[in-house]
Amino acid sequence: MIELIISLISITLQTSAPLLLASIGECIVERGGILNLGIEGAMLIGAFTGFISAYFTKNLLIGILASIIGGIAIVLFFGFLVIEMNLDQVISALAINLLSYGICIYFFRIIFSQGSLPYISELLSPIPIPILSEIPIIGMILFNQTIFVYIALISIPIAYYLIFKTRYGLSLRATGENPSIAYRLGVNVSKVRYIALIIEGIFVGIAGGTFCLSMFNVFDVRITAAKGFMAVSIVILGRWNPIGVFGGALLFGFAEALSLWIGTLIIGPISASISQLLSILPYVVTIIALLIGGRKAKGPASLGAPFSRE
Amino acid sequence: MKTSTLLSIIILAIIVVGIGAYAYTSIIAPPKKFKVAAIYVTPLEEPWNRVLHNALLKAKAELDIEYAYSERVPEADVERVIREYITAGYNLIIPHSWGFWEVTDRIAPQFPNVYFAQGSGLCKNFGKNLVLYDYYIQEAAFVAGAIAAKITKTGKIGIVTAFPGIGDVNNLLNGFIAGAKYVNPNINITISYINSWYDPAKAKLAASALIASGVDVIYSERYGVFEACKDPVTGKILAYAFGNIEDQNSLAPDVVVGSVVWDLYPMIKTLIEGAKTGKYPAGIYNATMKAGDAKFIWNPTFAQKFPEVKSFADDLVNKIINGEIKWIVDGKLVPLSVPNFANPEVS
Repeated sequence: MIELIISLISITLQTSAPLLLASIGECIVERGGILNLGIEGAMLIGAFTGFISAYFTKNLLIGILASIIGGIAIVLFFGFLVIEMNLDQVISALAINLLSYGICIYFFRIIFSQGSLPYISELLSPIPIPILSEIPIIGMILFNQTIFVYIALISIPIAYYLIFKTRYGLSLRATGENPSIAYRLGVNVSKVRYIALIIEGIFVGIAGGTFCLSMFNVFDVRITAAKGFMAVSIVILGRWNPIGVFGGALLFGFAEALSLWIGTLIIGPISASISQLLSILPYVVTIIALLIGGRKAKGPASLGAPFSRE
Repeated sequence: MKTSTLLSIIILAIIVVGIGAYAYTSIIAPPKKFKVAAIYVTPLEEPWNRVLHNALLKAKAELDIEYAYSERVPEADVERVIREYITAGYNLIIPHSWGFWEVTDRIAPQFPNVYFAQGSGLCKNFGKNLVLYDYYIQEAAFVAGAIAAKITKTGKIGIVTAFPGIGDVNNLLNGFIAGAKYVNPNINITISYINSWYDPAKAKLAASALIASGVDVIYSERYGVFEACKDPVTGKILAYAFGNIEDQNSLAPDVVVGSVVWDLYPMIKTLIEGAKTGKYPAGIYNATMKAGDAKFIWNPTFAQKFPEVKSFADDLVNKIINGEIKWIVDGKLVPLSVPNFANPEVS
């Protein structure tokens, strides 16, 4: 029984990894004052570029690289719209989401024949970390995962260090609070924001790649299933702090998994109504977490506001 | 060159081209092809759309028809799109989504010379030109259920599906459950609802929870189950699975025993031939194994691995085709506690 519980926790960690990666990326840009609602589309692009590269090269590492490049490209385009062109961030993000969806369908059809069902024959397998994976329970859960889960876990301290302990992080936070004052104090606001977006592009691209390179072997334009939007709310839940975001992503992922487990394991042959009731669990947990933890915390003051030097 | 000469050459050219064009359209041009239009609410890549699209592409190649489609048509636009196809002279119009049925049901009686086939819904005004079809492939699901009950070692089988209370989905689940109980009335069946039409990550979680509870055969009514059936570290097969709607055997060849497949080509062929001969089968079109609409496609590996089960399943298919096995198909999920509801007293 314990073995099964371990495997369930381990799978939940795997399915939460894209959520975690995307939330960490979003957390960094939002700290710099940019609200990127386009990460749903960016994730999809990451999944798509990863899928086609891995499909043709039969090399999953090239797939990961392609996911990263795809993610950076689309997020930088968003950056061009909102930083260079000073467009409204929410509307630009909507455009980015629609554009990504269109790009994926368009190229999918150009590349693959109509009506076919292309798939990758081999998915990324977990990499057990020597010694650490031998630790009972924790080793099985934490150190027997795919590279994506490791990246997701490592990204938390890295993001925390970046935001709170580096000179760049200080500029980033200053930019997010008040870009005009930061600019007058000599911070290159555009550069700071572009760097944040590139970092987000990397994370979100990898998050997309998780879907088509390690979890499933097909591509579908719905594969991200609104996980990007979920990431945006997790950033709020985690109060713009990577550690909080980590907690939020896990809370959400486990609440969702728990709703499925309770239905299957404990109640046995469940009636339909119980399953519906349990499916609201993640949202109930989120509301409770917000009520307990997040009433006083505030986000970056200039989040979502356009900035121009004049 | 004089202006008058130039003018006469131009006039002559116009006359020649005009006569040529007239001759082409009236004498030389081939007779008009039968024109079929399909309307999809989502992109073609969705399995639900892909099965119809593939059937129509096959019809285009084999029945010499013209085929056009509109995809990503929202419900609010479907009336305009249908009317445009009618104006453009299309003979058979196929609105292929539940959300379109009210419009189709209303428009069909207004155009008695145009044929309609509505994909799922609650149409009533069938008249002589409206067909309602759906993925009534419960017969194939029955075979899958029977195979599941034969190959399970733990006596526990599971289903991963979308929402509770959806009529056409319930028919599939009933088919699967009836098949399993036909083999073993005491079999333990668990249904896991992911409460989403498409969320592979959630389906994967649902499947792994089923496996943890001892289930070793899963009907993947929604996509996302296969990857949970194999231990990624050891490569051990934790459970077998069945694909749904389209042939998904190649996606996970060591896990998927077979697929419950919907083939729309036999129906499309019947409809086109019916429309051409004036014997359009208006009313509800039932997908059957007999006509070839519903199929259970074995993964060749497993057909070899379980030869006895294979021959048993082939026998079942024959019994279903001959009408020896029947069960109630009414869109209501039969409670799992009913021991054996295959072969009830139904007319």
